[in-house]
Amino acid sequence: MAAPDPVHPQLLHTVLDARDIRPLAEFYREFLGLVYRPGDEPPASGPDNADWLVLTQPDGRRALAFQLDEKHVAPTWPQPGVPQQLHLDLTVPDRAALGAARDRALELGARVLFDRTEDADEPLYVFADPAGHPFCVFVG
Amino acid sequence: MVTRDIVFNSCNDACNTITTDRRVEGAPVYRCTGCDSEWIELDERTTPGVPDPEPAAPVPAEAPTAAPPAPEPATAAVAEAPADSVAPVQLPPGAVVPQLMQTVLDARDIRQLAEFYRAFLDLRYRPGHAPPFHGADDAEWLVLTHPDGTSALAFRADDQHVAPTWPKKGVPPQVHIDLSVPDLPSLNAACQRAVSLGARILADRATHSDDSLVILADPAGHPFCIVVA
Repeated sequence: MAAPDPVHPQLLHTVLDARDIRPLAEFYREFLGLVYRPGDEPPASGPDNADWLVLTQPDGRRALAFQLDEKHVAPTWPQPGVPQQLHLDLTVPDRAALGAARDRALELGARVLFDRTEDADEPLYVFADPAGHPFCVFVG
Repeated sequence: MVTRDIVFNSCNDACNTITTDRRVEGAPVYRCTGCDSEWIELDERTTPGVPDPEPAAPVPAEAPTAAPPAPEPATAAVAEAPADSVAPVQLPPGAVVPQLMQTVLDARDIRQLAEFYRAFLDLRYRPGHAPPFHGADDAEWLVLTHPDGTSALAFRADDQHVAPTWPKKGVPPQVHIDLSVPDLPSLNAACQRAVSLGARILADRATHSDDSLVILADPAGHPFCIVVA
């Protein structure tokens, strides 16, 4: 008897932990041109006590989520201590866009961990987002 | 209406004496007030068809009352949602928005981890990344793609990698992946398959009516969730 077809779950989104998820969500929303899932926007009035936020692509496809962790400790990568465990890779189409992405990332609160834009094969930056999670932007 | 029956386990870390309902934010996990470690509450079950009683157990005043937020029920009909109250992102003329390409997982043995996700999620190796027919497999970087060639996950060799200890203190997960299946039978089947491929279950909340999910650790120890969405 043939085995039933295995279930293949779908990648839904990647979730980043932080103590203060609104600024982190705002960073990625602005940097990647994402939108809040309906209902996850900052409240018009009153306290913003969200403990879970989802950002989608403009067409509604899931992109990233943010999970409140009041004890979150930022990764110390590449130094030993607190490992990054997972990170995001982002792409831009060319070197000019890479420079523009750097400027915008810094303006939004990221910091540069590595500048490898002189690498002929794969120019890239490694940034830390406002919560300290490393991510890469490269031409691809 | 459902009844949520919580059987408090004693702390399986150090003190072995404390029961608590101090749920850890964002996780089906409870914190021991005795030794401040965290452990997974596996004996929480919902029973459908029974009216919800008033809260039975006295709740410490400082106890958070919110249910764990992650992951959430599926979002229906984005197109019907009210207009986003947040102003659209204003980009300079000609600006290019970076695109999410892939999520990269660190591990000491990236082939083992890539094989797990390849089989579990029905992904493909990027051309040139398949295991070598001959000789040593000394890959330091592997990429898995969807069948259409778009990147899905990547794996970065880290000889110093230490597996997350979540939900216990020590090494936090920092980032995790959520996977989705369409219904409860698929969730159960997916969990069985994940375990057969080398994952282990950290928390089983499949029978929760409001947020049906199972949390597993992959072969390198990274927690991931499978949700019905």
